[in-house]
Amino acid sequence: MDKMKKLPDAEFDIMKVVWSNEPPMTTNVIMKLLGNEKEWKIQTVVSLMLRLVERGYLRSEKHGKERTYFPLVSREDYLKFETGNFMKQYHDNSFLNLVNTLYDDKALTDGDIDELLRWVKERRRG
Amino acid sequence: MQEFMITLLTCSAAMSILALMYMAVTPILAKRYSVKGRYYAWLIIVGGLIIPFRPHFSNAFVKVDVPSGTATPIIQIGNGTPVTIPAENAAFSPASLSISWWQIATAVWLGGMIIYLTYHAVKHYRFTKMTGRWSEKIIEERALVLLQNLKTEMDISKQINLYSCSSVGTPMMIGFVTPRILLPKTNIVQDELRFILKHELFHYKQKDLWYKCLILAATAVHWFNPVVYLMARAINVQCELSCDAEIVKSADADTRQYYSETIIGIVRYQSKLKTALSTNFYGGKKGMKKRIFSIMDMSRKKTGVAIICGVLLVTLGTGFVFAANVNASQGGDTPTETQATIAERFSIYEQYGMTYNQEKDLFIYDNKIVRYFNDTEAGEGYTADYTKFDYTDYNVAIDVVAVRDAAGKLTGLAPVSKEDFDLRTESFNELNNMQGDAQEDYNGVSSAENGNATEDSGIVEGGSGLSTEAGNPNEQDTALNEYSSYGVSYDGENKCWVYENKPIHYFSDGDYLTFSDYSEDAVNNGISLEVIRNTNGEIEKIVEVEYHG
Repeated sequence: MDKMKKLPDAEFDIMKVVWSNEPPMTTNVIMKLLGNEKEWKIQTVVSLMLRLVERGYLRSEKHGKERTYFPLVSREDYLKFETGNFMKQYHDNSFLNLVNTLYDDKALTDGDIDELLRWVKERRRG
Repeated sequence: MQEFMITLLTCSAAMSILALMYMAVTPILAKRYSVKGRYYAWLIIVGGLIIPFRPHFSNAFVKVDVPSGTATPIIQIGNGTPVTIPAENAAFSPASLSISWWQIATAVWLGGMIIYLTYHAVKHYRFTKMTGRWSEKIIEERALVLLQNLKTEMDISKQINLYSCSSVGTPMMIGFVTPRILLPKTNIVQDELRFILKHELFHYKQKDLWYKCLILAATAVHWFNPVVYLMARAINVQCELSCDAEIVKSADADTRQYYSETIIGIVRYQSKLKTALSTNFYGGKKGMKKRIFSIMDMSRKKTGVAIICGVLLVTLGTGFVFAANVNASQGGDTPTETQATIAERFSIYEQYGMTYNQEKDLFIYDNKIVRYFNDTEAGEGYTADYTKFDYTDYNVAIDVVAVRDAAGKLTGLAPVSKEDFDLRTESFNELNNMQGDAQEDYNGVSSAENGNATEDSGIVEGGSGLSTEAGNPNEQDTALNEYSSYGVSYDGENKCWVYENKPIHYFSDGDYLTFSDYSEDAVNNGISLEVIRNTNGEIEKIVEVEYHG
């Protein structure tokens, strides 16, 4: 997929079920796990799944009568995309960035952290 | 509107200085006072920023000269109706134009505030939504029991839910209505969880989310001021430190070390995730060191009531600045100047024997009523004149001039001689009789005011024979003497000021002086000039301008 797009809530709910179960998934299984709870009709679930296929989040195969779905985007990748997107919008490109950079707001390296731990122990003794 | 904006800007500036000073002394205060006191003292500064108005002190102790872009008033003693000199000639810069500048400023300020608040509202909404998507309620028995125990211990009855959230890198508390604690998806052992939950619950107890709302309000009002962002940062640090302090209060060194290690562990996870968000901070290695230093610091501290009181006093004290400012702007905006400010302004002459009677609105010198007073060096505001009111008896009234040495330092006051006094009386009577046709029979030597010159002063009537507005009785027309080295000279024959051999019809030097000559020659053949000053207020050059009088 070239460019991920943020999923609307309903489609995200479907993906959540897909991610938390072993592929392949069928519409019926999704319906059982999610549809009843949300009181969705089977048509709604089918159209949501097809839209996810269109967006490139799912891949579908047809075996005889039944259509099965496989995730194309992993949960981790999508999490990274969505969270990272938020960060990018509200941290990196923020107009407050100028001020933020005055203070160091950077992540620490492992080396820094080990040094800090050593420092704590030293302070303890000192 | 203008007054409000001036108040706001003054508040912004004064509180910025206070905030910066407070930030500067924080390391020193940290040695003696508890972090809690330091944290809550900030609240006063935040409050002072949100509410730009202060109790009004009618007599400012500290006189702060706030440049207000308006001229000082000339006052007329006796009738109690002071007259203002508008800084700019009304015809030259229409009042509507100057008002619209303030309107633009207000609009920009409001617009910025709305954008800022919208930005933060959207950010908060999107963040809440995102974390909601990726959160799962924690159902693990041990964690829930621990939370319940801590709540009981800390006397919190509100329902607080516990979630595990994949999109956060650090534990945090969000939600005003339904507070919930989000934990990052990392391995947290029971002992660590205890510290983390306690820390977050303290945020709830301290009402830190509301505090943060106030900070947001303050930064929104002063969005144009970079200092408020620094301040927000500094308060966030204090917020975390005060939570830390509560947790390790009366704890031994082992516990403190363990707590420090817990925090460092979270930072390690967060750094990996690169998700720095919301109620938590980790200000780089240096910031972390400070935080740990604070946790490990076991020395006893004073609560810091003194700090809170001190900051409160200074915050209220900025009201003095405002008071002085209001006085200054009152002088320019409205034609009323209080007796109190007149008294204050003229108090410098008290030591030389001239006193001001506030009740009667009169100056007294040598037991006589001061009919005319002039201190040319001090500027327009230091002239008092009531020649209009015919005090003609030299035994009752007196004319006084200030004496200054070569360096411009005030050295004393001098009453004018009886001759000079009578001359002023005479020329005043003459002017009165002339009733407008001032040019006739006027010898041009005296500089006594006619009613016109005093009333719309600031417009110095020159050339046409009615010369300077507040000069010595024996002086020539000196209105533009100051500019002689820039090519402006006085043509005694035609009784007008000239520049490049042309009569000057209009001459403007911003706030310093406005001069116009309405004699026929000057109106028809004259030129209009404007003085360009550099940022230091020094004259740069004189340029010709279009005058649509």
